[in-house]
Amino acid sequence: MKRAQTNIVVFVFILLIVVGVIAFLLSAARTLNPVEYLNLYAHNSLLSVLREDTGYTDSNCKLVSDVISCSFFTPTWQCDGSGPTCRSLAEEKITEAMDQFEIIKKSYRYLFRVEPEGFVVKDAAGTPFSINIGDGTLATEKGEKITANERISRVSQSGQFLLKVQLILKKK
Amino acid sequence: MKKAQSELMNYVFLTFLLMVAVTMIIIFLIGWQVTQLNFEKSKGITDRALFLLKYTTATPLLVKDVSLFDDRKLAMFAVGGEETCTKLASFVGGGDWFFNVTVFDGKAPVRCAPGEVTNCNQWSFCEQSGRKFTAFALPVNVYRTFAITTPTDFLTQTDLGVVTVGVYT
Repeated sequence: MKRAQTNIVVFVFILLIVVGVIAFLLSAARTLNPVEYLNLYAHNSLLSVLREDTGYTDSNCKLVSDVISCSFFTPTWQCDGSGPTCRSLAEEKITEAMDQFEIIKKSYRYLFRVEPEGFVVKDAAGTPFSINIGDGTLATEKGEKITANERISRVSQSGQFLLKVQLILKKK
Repeated sequence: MKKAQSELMNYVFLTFLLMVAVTMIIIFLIGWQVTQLNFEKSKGITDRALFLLKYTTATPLLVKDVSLFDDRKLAMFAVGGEETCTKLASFVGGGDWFFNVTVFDGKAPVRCAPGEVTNCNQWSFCEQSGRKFTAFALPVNVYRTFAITTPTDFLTQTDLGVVTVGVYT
């Protein structure tokens, strides 16, 4: 009886070692998760979208950052006189650009967000206006997210206005 | 006799189990060492690739501004061919690495010949076929220059693109 117990104890002990070794080797096969790279990727994605040319030549519509700014301050402006409005062009160009980024497209949900900082812009219906492209739930969702921030500044006779531009990424 | 045989079998079984346990511990230690070594090697390559990625997106040899490549600089740099790789290696400490810049202009990628700026949208440097590598890609802008009528009259445009930097393993 005693011997049988000893055998069982030894067997369980060895089983634990085997399971432990397997679990350790599996967990040790860790992959590199370069957080620094993902932050760099998010920031460069945001910056390169803002600096991209839209193909229109007037000063309100030349760069994506220009059309974003124009969306808030002169929303009904039509690019090059008869082109699209700043708001529709901003949404089109941002969506188009985000679709080009392979890593984001394959593995991340994104939210491209622009909102005024320290002032409120109201749309035709009288509600505060902001640009939200992508997955709107990311703004309030908890968990690990990568956020890149930029600011667009606009100086007019009434002072300097800032727009806060954010790109939020979260693993799918 | 039967009891003695049974006890002997028991000892053989226990010895076997102990041998299994010792073998497992040895595997565990070797596996741990190998994993650590592989991880350190992989980390070294990743760190180097990231350093080179930051370098290429910031060196005035290739960019107008951080992450804004200049197509004319890329075209002129490509003229050097193999010499370019040697020159770059002297700046970043040698080693086998490559990079390429592709413009997202809605067209299929077309490799630029050395010195070429128009009618192409991809510049590659120091690439070696058939080798394994670790690479990172980063969204960037490419400042493109298109000649209109005279050599001094240009149309420029900032396009979206991607730079890929890799280290051969």
